[in-house]
Amino acid sequence: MNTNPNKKGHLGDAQARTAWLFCAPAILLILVFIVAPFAMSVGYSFTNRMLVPKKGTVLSFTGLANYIKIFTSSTALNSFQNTFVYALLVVPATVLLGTLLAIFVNRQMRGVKVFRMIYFSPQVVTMTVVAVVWSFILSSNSEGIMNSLLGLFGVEPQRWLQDARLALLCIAIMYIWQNLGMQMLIILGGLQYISEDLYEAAMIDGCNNWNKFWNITVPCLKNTLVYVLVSTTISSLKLFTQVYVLTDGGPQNSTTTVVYLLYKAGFINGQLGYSSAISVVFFILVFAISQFQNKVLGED
Amino acid sequence: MHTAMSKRRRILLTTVMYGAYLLVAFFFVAPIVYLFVSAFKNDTQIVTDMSTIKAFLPAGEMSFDNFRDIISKVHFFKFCKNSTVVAVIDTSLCTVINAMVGYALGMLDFKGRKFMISFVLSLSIIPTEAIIINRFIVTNQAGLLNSYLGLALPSVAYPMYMYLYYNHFKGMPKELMEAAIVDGASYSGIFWKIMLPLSKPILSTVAIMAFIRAWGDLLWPTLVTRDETYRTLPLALRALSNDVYIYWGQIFAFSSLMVLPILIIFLIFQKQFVSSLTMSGIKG
Amino acid sequence: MKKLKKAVSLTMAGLLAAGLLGGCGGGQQTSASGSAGTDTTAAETKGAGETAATGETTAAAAPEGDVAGKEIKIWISSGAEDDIYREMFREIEGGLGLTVKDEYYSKDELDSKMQVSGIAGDMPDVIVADYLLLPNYVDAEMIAPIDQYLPADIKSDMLPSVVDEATYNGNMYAVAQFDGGLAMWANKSMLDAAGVTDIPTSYKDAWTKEEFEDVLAKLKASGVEYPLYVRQNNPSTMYYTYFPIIKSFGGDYAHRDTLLTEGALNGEGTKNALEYLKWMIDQGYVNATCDYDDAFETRQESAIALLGHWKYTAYAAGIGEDNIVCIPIPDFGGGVYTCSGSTVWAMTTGAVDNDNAAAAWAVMEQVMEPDYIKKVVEVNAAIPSRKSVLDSSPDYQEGGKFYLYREQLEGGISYLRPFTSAHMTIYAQMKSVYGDIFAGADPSASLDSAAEAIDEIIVENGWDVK
Repeated sequence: MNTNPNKKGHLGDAQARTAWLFCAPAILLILVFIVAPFAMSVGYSFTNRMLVPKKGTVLSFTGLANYIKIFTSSTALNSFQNTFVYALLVVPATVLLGTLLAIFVNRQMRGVKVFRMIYFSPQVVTMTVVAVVWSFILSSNSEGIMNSLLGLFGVEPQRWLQDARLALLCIAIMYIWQNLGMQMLIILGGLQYISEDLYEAAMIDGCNNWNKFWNITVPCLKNTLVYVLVSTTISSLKLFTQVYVLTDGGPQNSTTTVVYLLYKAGFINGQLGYSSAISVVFFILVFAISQFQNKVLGED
Repeated sequence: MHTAMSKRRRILLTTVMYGAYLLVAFFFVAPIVYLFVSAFKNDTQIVTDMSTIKAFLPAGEMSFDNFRDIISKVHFFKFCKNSTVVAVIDTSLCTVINAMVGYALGMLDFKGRKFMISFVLSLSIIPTEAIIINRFIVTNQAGLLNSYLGLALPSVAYPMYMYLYYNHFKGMPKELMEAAIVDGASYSGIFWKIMLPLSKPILSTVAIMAFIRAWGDLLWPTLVTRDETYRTLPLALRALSNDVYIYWGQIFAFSSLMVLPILIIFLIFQKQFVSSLTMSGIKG
Repeated sequence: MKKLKKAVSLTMAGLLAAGLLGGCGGGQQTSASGSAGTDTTAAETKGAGETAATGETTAAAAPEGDVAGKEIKIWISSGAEDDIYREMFREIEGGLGLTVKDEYYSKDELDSKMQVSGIAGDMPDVIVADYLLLPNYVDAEMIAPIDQYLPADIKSDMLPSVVDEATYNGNMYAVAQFDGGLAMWANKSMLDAAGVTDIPTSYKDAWTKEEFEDVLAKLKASGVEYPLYVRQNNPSTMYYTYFPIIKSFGGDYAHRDTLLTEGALNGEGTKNALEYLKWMIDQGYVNATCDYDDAFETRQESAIALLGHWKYTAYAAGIGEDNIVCIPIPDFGGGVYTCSGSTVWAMTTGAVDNDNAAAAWAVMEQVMEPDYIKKVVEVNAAIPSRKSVLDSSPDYQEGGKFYLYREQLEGGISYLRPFTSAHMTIYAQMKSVYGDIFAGADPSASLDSAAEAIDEIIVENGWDVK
C-alpha cells in the first residue's frame, strides 16, 4: 500500500497521521490516569490488598478468592440485581422525557432561556442540598409533602426511603429529575442541527406534528439519542452519589448498588482486593451490555 | 395574513406555552428556591421550617449573616479561587482534547478506528470510585500531588465526552470535508477551521458538563490536596457539618454562592443553543 | 478562530510537558501487567512497615530533642473549636519558639488523607481526631505511643474515662482536652404536668426499667405525643447514645477479648436492648417517622431526649435554662451506664521519624494546660478532661448543671464502644441496623446478619485477636 503513490493512499496516510496525532494527548492521559490504575485494580483483585494494612499483614496472592466471594455472597449478588433493576427504571424514562423536554423548550420565545436554566438547575445544586430537599419531600411522616399530596387522592402514607420496596424507585425518580436537564441540553444541542427546511418541506407535504416527529426529528437525532441511551445506561449502572447521600445502601440493602458496594468494601471495610474484584466483574458485565446496545443500534 | 384572528390565536398560544413552562418549572425549581431562601435564615429557623412548606418561603427573620460568616470565617473566596483555576484548566482542556478524539473517530478513516471506538466506550464504564486509590498512587509518582494540575489533569481525558463528540462528528456531512480537501485544506485544518465553528452547541454542552463535574468533585480533591493551599469548595463545604453540629445556614449560603457561577456560565453558553442555524442544510 | 487555535496550541504544549512528566512517573505503571502492579504494593507495604519499625525504636531511645525552630504539622478534625485552636497555636508558637502548621479538615477528609498519607509520605506530626479512629492507625503503625512523654501528674489528673479512651493494647496513644457527657435531657414542666415527681439527679438514683416505663406511660397519657427522642432522624448517633442501654441489658457490640461480634452484637443482651427499642416504637413512645432535629426543643413533641452535652446550648435556648434537667440513663437490669469518648490528640510515627517527636509532644503538653482546656470547653460545652479544671468550675460541683456528667465519669460507669480496627465496619453496620429498626425491621434478624457480615470482614482482615 505504502509503495503505491496514488492520491487515495497518500490521503489515507494523512488521515491516519492526523487521527493518531489528534488522539495522542487523550491517549497519553488515559493511559496514565485510567488504564494504569485499572490495570493495577485487576492485579490487586487477585490479592488480599488492604487500604491501610495492619502491621504484620503480608500482601499475598489469593487467586480467585475475591471472585468466588462475589459469586457466593448474597449481598454482592443482590447489589448487582439492584443495579440492573435501577437501570431498567431509569434509562427508558430518561430518554423519553429528555427528548420531550428538549422539544418543549426548543422555541424562540422571550424568557425561554430562563426556563431552560430552571429545568437544568437540579443538576448544579450541591448534592447535600438536593438530599435535604428530597428527604423531606419523601418524608415518611404522614405530614410529609409527598404523603400529604397523595393523601388528597386517598393514598395511605408511605415510608418511601425507609421502605425496602420503594427506596430504589424513589432514588430512580430523584435521579431522573436531577439528570433530565442535562439530557435536555444534549438533545437540544442535537436539535440545533436539524434544518428548518426539512420541517417546512414536511408542512407543505401536509404532515402533522406526530409525523414530523417520527419522520424528521427522530431520524435526525439518531446519533444524539444513541449517545443519550448509551451514556444514561452506563451512568445509571454506576449509581453511587445518590445512594451515598440519601440511604447508605439501606433499608435492608435494597439500595446497595455495585459501585456503592465496592466503595464500602474499599473505604469502610478496607478491602481493596475485594473491592477491585467487584469493579472487574462490573466492568465485564457493563461492557457486554454496551456492546450489545451498539450492535442492536446498528453502530458502524 | 396578519388578521386579528391569527394574532389572537398567537397570543393565546403564547399564554398557553408560558403556562406550561411555569407548570413544568415547579417540578424543577424546588431545590433552587429552597437553597436561596434558606441561605438567609438562621440555623434554628431552617431546622424548624424543615419538612414544612415554610422551607420554601422567606418566613421568619432574614439576614445576610450566613454570607458574612462564610466569607470572613470560612474564607469562601480563597477556596473559590482554587476551584476556579481547577475548573477552568479542566474545562478548557477537556472541551478541546476530547473533541479532537471525537473528530478523529467520527470523520477520519484510519486503521484501528473501530478498536479505538470500543476502547473509549469501555473505558467510560470504569467507575472512578474503583480506581481512585491507584490513580492517587500514579499521581503521586508523577509528582503532581497537591497541585492544580494534579487536581485537573486526571479527568481531562473523559471517555464519555469522546463518545459524545464521536456521535456528533459522525453525523457531520462528509461532502463538507471532501470539498475542503479539494480546496487544499489539511485534515487538521478542517477540524480547526470548519468543524469546530460548526460544533458550538456540542462544545458548549461538554464545557458545561465538564465545568459542573470539576466544580463539584469531592472524592478526588479529598485525596490529592495535601494541605490547605489547593483545597477546593466542596471540601470546605463538607467541613460545615460534623457529628455534633450542622451549620445549616452557612451550608445553604455557601451552596448558593457555589451555584451562582454555574448558572451564569450556563446563561453565557446558552447563546450557542439558539444559534440561528447558519448551517442550514446540514443533517445531524 | 485564529486566537482559539493559538490558545489551544499553547495549552497543548503545556499539557504535553505535563504529560511527559506524568508519563515518566507513570510509565512503569502503564506497561505494568496485573502482577507487576502487585509487586509495587508489596514494596510499598514493606516500606511502610520498615519506617514504622524504625519509628518505634527511635521513640524509645530518644525522648529528648530540639523543640525550638521546628515546624509541627497538625491535622485537625474540624469543629466548633477551630477558632480557639488557631488562637491557642499562635500563643504556643510564641512560647515554644516553634511553628505550628495547623490544618482543619472534615472528619471524613482527615481520615481519607491519613489513610493515603503512607503512599504520599506526608504524614502530619500530630492529629486531632475522634478517638475511635486511632486503633486502625495504631495497627498500621501510624501513631506512636506517648507513655514515655506523659508526666505522671498530668496522667493522674486526667479523668479515668479519658485515660481509657487513649489506651490501646496497653499503651497510651493520646491526650484529650475534654470528654463527652451522655445522659438524658428532660423537659421539667412536661414531667411535672405528667405527674412525674421522682426526677433523679445522680446516677446512683437512676430510674429502674419499671420506673422508666411508668414515666413514659404517664407522659404519653398526659398528652406528650412521643415521650422519648433518640435522634431517630440520624440513627448513626445511636451507635453512641444507645450503647449504655445495650450495656445495661447485658449486651455489647463486640467481645472485648477476641474483638469478634458473633454472640455479642447479636447476643441475648443486645437483642433484648434493640427489641426494647422496637417495643418503645410500637408503644408510641418513640416516633419512628420523625425526620427533624428539633422534636425536643422547638416542636416539643418529646419530653426526654437521649443525647449528650453537645445539645445543652440549643436545648436550654429552646425550652429555658431552668426548665431543662439532666437525668441519668435508667438501669435496665444490668446496672447504670453512660458512654463517653472524644476528640483526642495523638502523635504520629511520622513525627518520630522526622525527629519532631519532642517538639510535637511539647505542643501537646501545652494544649493540656488548664487555661486552654477552659477556653475550649467554653465553646463546645464538653467535660474538661482534667480533674483540677473540673474542681475550679461551679457547673461541675454538686448541684451544678453538669455535675451528673462528672459524677458518671469519675464513678467509672462509662463503658466505651469497642476499640478496634474494625470500628468503621461495625459502626456502618449498626447504623443500618438502627435505621432498619425504625423502618420496621426485626431487630434479632438484623443483628444476626450484621454480626455475620462484620465477623467475615474482621477475620479476613485479621482485625480479631487470636
